[in-house]
Amino acid sequence: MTNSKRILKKKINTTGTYLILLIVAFFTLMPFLWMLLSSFKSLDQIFASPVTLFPTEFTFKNYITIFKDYNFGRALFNSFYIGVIATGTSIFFCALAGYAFSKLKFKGKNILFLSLVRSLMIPFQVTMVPAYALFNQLHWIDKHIGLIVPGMANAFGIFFMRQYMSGINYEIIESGRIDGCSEFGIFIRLILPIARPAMASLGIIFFMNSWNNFLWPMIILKSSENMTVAVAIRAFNSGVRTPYNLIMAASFVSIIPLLIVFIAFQKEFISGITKGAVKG
Amino acid sequence: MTKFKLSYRFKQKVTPYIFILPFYLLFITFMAYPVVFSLIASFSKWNGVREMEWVGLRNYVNLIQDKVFLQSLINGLVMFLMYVPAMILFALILAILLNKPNIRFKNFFRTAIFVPYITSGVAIAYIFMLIFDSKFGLANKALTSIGLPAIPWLSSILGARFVLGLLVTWKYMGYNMILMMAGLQTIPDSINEAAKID
Repeated sequence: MTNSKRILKKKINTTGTYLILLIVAFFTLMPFLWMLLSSFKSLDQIFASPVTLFPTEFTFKNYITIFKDYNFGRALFNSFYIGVIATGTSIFFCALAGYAFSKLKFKGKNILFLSLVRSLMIPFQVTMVPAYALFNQLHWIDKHIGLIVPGMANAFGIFFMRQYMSGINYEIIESGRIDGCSEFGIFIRLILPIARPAMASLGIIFFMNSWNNFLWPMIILKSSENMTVAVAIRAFNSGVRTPYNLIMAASFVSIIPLLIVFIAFQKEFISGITKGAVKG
Repeated sequence: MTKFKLSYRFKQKVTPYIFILPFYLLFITFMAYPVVFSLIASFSKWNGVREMEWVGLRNYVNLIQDKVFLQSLINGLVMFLMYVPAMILFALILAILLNKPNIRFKNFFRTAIFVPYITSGVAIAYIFMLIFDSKFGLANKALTSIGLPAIPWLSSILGARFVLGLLVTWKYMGYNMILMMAGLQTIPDSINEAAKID
């Protein structure tokens, strides 16, 4: 093969790659574009025949309606504070247990850890009905505590933290013990600062899961002022015609916070996903 | 001195359990207890309010005779066969393409393909319902504008299955791609070199 032929082949190859990537990116982004365009249409425009790509009459009314008449701001606030509390406590307890499983010696460690990993395979639907009955007795129905407490520690997070902390040197822990630190003191002063990157990764994933959680909040939240974002979007759909204009506006607003978090912390996000899955 | 040593040892022994206690408290209350409860309830007649009444295997006998249940098993299998191979193949191809050293705008492509994964399922469900609406949807508009017939996406079994498979593929393709990229990066370069020489 001559040199020019090889260069030509490489060029075609590269162009093909860009072409495929562009087509895929178009299809992954297109629904978002359609969401955005629809959010500026009135309901009559959405159900117009023939459908137009761009709004014939550009309107901001949907955004005003969801905040003014449907109190969507309240839902955003609820999701935000539930996410922050659940994420914060969960990171802490997962790190604590992950530290114990990776660096401390105790009887029954392997069996306990195995049971923890096995619990990852239990689908939520198995526990859904009994959990509802339990929460009913606790009077946790239609309360945010029912969303926060069950998520305060989870098996995936502990597994993740254990993986990360197994890379920490024992000498650090020993030096803490010699200095007379308590085990908890070692964890707070020496381990947590080292584990900060892992905590950031985990925190982003936890917050995303909490923000997007739908089924359980849908089951236990009843009153409109307690609704989280996902439940509130579902609640728009109560009339004869689905108010797609409002739903699209609310959906677009709901993805903005996660989008910002994702773009700002892309590295942590991706390392959180890959470390949790690939290393294990 | 011995007393101090004893208490120190005792502390050393107990501390790990205290560290893992928060998780196991939650685990027992919200996981183990409900699972056992579900198991017992599956052998009982129970309406959620009154006392349970033991009925043995009757619920299971009813279940395997239930047409909707059997159909849902088939549906689950069909969906699995529909999107899992497709998604893995797409994700692998994209991961290989994005792992090429001379590709620019990698960050843009990666973000664009990954973004569906962080989007709430509720929002995605609605946007797909709107796009695949048989009368007012974008998909049918695109089809009819190039002279193809409109398809009743959501009101036919095949169409609905296709849309659902598409939704799941769309949402999780980027996630799988990221996993595969991480996997590909652990493959030593020497293997790629060897393949190229061959």
